[in-house]
Amino acid sequence: MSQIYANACLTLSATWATNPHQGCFVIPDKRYASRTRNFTNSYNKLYKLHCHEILPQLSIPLQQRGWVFQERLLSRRIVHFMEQELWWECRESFTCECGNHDNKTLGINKYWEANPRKLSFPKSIQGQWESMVQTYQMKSLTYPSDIFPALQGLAKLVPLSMGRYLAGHWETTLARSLCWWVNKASRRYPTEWRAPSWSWAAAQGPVRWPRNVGYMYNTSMHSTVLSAMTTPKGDDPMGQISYGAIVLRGKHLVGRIRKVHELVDYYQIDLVGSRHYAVWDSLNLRDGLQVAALIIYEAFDRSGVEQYWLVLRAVKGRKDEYMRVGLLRARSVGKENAVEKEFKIV
Amino acid sequence: MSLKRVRLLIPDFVPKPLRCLVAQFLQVTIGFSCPWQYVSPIAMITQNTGSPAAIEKVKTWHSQCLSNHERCSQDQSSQLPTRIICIEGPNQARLHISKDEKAPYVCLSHCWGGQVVVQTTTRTLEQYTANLPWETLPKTFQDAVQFAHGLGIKYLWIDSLCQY
Repeated sequence: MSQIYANACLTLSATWATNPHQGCFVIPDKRYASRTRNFTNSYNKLYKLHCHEILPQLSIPLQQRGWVFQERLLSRRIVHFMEQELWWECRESFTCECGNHDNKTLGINKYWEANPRKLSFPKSIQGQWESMVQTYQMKSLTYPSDIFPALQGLAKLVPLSMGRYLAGHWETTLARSLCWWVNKASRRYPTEWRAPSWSWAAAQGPVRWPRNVGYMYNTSMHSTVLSAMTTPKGDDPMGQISYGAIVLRGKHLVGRIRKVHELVDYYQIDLVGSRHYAVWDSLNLRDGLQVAALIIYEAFDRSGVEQYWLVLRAVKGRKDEYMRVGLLRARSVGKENAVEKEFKIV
Repeated sequence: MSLKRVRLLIPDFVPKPLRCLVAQFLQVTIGFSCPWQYVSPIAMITQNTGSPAAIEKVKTWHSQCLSNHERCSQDQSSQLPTRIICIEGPNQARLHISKDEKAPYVCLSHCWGGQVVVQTTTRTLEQYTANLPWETLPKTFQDAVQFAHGLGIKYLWIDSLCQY
C-alpha cells in the first residue's frame, strides 16, 4: 500500500467530497470566479484587473479521515479538488489558485524537511514519529481497529535502526515513548480492544509527548525494558494486533487514587503522604483504587528536574499483571523511598 | 503594449452593491502608474475544476515541480501496481493486470463515506478487465478518469477497484 502512493507521479484527491458520489469537479460559485476588467492608465498601458471575493475558510472532510493521512504523506504530489478551486501540494511547495491559502492549512512538506530520497524521517526520528502520531490521532476512523493499519504505510518508512515496531512504539526508544499523556481524558470505554494499555493507541482521544526528547535536555533513565512483545492478528507486525505486553524494571511507589470532590470527575494520586496531579488515560477510575507509580525517567532543565512516572493498577484476576491508567509528571515526588520491582504491563 | 495582472481583494465588510463601485473607484483614481505595484501578479481562478484550463494549470504546476524541486523525487516511470485501471478514453477504462510493467500512473484519494461502491471481486474481475461499466462508477471515479486522461496519463489506481 505505502509503495502505491509513493510511486505514483501524482495523487488526485477529492478533498472537498464527503462520499464518492459527489465527484471531483465543481463549478465554483460565481462570486469566487475571477471577473476581469481591462483598463489603461495615462501612459496608455493596459492593465487587467482580476476581481473576486475572498474565498471562505473551508472545512476539509477528507483531511479529517484517518486513512487519508498516510495517503497524503506518502504521495509525491497532490492535486486537491476543492469546492471553489484547485490546490497543489508537493514536498517543497503549496499553491492554490486564489493565492490566499498557505501551507499552514495543510502542509505535507513539514515532514519532509531533509533528505526525502531515503524516505526516512529527518530530525530526530522519534520526535518526528511523535509529532506525526499526534496529528494522526486527531483524525477520525470509522473502525477503531484500523488504528494501526491506517498508519502501516508510514511505519514502514521508519529506518530499521529504530528496532522492532511495538504497538505504535519503537524498540530503541520504547521506555521514553511510554510517557505519553491524553490531552483530554474521556469517560468512554473503547468499543473493542485494539492496543495494550501502554500504547498510545489505547487512548481515547489525542495524545501528547513531553518536548524534552531533543538533545537540549539532560535526562536520566530509571527504568529498563526487560522484554516487549506484540502478537499480530495477520502476517504484518505493523497491522492489527491481538495482544501486547512489556516487562519493565524500575523503582516504584505504592499509592491510592483520591476523588477530589464527590460531584466532579477530578482525581488525584496519593503517594507517600502527598497529593499529586496525574494525567489520566480515561476517567473510569474510583476513589481509593490502589495504584503503583513507576518512575521512567527524569529530565533536567534550567528550572530544575521533571520526573515521569507511569501510574499502574493491577489487572483483576491476573497475578502480577498491570495496566496503565495514567502518567504522573512531577517536580518532586520523593523517589528515595521507591522500591525496585518488575512490572508486566498489558 | 504590456500586460500586467493584479489581484484585487474586496473585503467582506463591503456590501455587495458597493463592490463594483469600489473597483471602479480604484480605476478612476489611478494616476500616473499602477497603484498596485507592490501587489504580486497572480493567476485567475478557473471557473470549473474539471475544465481544460484547470488541466493546463495542473500541468504547469507539475512541470514546475519536476524542474525546480529537488526534494520531490523526479523518478517518473515506476513499477505499476499489479491491478491498475488503464484509461482508454475520457469515458472509457478497463482493469489491467500488470506484469512488472513500468509507466507513470496517478492515484485517487477519496472518502468512502460509509457507502458501498463498486469493487473488484473474483466474480467481476473478468468483466472489468474487458471494460469497466462506466455508468456504475461513482462520479468521483469518473472525474478522476477524465482528469487523468486530460493530463495524458494512462494509468490510474483506485483502492476499491485495484486492491485485493
